[in-house]
Amino acid sequence: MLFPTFSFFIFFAVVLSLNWLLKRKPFWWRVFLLLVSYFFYATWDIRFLALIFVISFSNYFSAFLINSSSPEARKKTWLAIIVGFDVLILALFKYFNFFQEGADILLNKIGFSSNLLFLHVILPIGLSFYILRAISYNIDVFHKKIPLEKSFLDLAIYVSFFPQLLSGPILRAQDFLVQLKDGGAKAIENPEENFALILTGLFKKIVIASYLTTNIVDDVFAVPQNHSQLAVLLAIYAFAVVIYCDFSGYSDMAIGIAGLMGFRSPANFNAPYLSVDFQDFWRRWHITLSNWLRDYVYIPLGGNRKGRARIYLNLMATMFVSGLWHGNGIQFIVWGLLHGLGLAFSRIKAEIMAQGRNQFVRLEKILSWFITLNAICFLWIFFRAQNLQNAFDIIKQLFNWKSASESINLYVVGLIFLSFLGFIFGQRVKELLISLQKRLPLFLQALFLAAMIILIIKLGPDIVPPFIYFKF
Amino acid sequence: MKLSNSTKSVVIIILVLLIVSFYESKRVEVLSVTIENPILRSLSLAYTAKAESIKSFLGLEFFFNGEENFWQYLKKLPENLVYKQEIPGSIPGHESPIPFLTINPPYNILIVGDSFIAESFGPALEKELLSLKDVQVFRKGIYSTGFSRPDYFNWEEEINKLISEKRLNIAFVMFGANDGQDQTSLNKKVIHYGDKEWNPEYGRRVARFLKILEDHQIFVFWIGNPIARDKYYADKMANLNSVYESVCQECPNCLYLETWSVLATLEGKYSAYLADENGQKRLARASDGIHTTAFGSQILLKEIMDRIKVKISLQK
Repeated sequence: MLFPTFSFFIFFAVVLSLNWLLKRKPFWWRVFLLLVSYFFYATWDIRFLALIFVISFSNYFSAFLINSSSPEARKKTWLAIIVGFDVLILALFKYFNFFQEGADILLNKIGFSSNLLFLHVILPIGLSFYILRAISYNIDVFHKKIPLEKSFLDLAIYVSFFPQLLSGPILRAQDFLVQLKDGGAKAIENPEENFALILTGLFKKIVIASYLTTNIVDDVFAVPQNHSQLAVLLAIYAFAVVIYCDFSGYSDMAIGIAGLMGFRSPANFNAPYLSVDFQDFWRRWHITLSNWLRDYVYIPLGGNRKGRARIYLNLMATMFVSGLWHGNGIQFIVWGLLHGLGLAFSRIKAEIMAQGRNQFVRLEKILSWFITLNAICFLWIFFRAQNLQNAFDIIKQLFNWKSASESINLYVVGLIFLSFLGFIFGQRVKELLISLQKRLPLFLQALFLAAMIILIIKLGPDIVPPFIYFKF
Repeated sequence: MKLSNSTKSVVIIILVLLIVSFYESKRVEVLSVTIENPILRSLSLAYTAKAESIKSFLGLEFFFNGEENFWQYLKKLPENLVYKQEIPGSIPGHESPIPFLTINPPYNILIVGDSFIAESFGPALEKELLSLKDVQVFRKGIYSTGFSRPDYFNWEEEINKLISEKRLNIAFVMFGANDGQDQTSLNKKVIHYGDKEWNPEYGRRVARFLKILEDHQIFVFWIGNPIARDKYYADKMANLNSVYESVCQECPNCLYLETWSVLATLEGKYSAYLADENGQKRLARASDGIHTTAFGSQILLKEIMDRIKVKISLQK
């Protein structure tokens, strides 16, 4: 069940009503939250339920072992076992097919039947996200940042909460579990803001991302050699818009839906294309994942504490993990490592700039923004390409000054331009939507929201492509 | 009476749902047909039928038709807003009469179909065809589409549009992965899969599609579906292949390319792994048991390029 679908909105109308009715009975309310989350997940594939239950239970149980063991070394052993187990599960589902062929060739060479590996592993949707939630819970219990969660029910809801199950935001246990106690929030602070988030999310996904995906990105990235240099350049910028609108659109909807149920979620994006360097970009892009990588990969590796050389090495290692997490192809690792280089370069630049007085601060910022934006758009090539060869084909065609001419749809050009403008003024649009709703009585507010949704449906294509981040 | 924010939110969500599905009753009706739960499906269909009758009672059909036309016009605007560049050496349209014994270059080729064409096999075919001499290639693959649900996506309309945009003389067509389902028509009449009437009706739709191409002097290579892993899909695809093959035999402008056995084992069974030229087994099929991997696409491609030699020159 996808967010921007008719069946999801029927499901959500029922869930929202029962959510507020059941809050008076906190235990049954929590049972209800777990059941609807599992139901939501089972609509994708009922077999996925077994996996999410195993992950929830093993992480719940291991936290008990970590908490009750002594000395410290034994706690560490339990932590290593559960984190290793979680990573192994993720790697098994995510990379099995990637390594399958190599392993199969090897088995054939040493005389075993290749039937041994005739298994097809489907990556359960959302696994990459809820595994990170589970890992962070155990590490936080180990470091005593949060108390042990004694209720399996609460931990299972934390792992599987349906608005954030498939693509985040990646909430921390300390921020989420407290919201389940005593029936959670008793009221919604700002429903208009949540409706505005759902509307902007729908618009970004259905209108902008879908149009650009089906009208330029998919075609050009599939066979770049059949397209002009200009079309390739536009497709690269278009993909930068698509990946942002697709993923931040999902996050907006997830935050808005959770918000209407009385749950607060952290922001996941903050105008990332206005970043002035790579460090700034990762503070604004997929913020909950960046924070997760910082706290559970970068800092444990030594962070900034072990000298300059180690800082750069740690940055590269963290972005290597980020690349691996995003996909099972070499192109994702290249993407991650190039971002690692970008982060290292940003750091060196910041140190140089801090040493001297810069008289041209504004000019330097504009130049930095322009270079960063274009570098990030260029690196998205590796993220979108089907494999490394495809990425090189796109780059080759981008610099093919003799490519054939091709007609360009001016809607695409206009939409890319307007989208970049939208990144600057997006917050104001959201504020306008909130203030407009606040002025209207209930029925007119519903009418206004319905009119906006109808407009989005009308502007969108007949067939909306799937969310990009679902495959991670 | 002052409502709490939570009650207000619930009321708003329900009102929005009712208003949107009332306004978009035609679209909701299309979606309702696919709801598996019979109670939900009946409720949804009853609501949309009621909405339609209210609109008709209030005489709103004129407004809704005009409104639909307005959006169609707006969506077609890009066709007039295209920055056109003169393409050097542009290929003229094919002018040879039917029957198509051989087709002379230059070739203006269209590749159309569903997900097989959108991502799996389509890009591989496009790249291969591009490597030939005197060729231009246009590819249009749309996920989850076919001939069973013209109310969802209408390929007859789409092919007419594509033909009017490009001057074509060859088309590669591949459909079927999504078509083993109930057929609806534009007036919402439903023919259930397995009914006696299903195959003849499906055949008529395929024939109409081919007729459009024939009328524009376009020769069609119809690519059949390769064997699928799950019996549920394999049976349906085998049935669809039989329809495609029999319709193609009746059409002077169509050559049916069988691929079922190309991706099967020597025993005619499904296998995710097939041998390469060195006898080494490699993964040929995607994890869904339907689509092809890059290696599987290459096997399919080799076979297809061999078969089309009879009609077109493969000079590189």
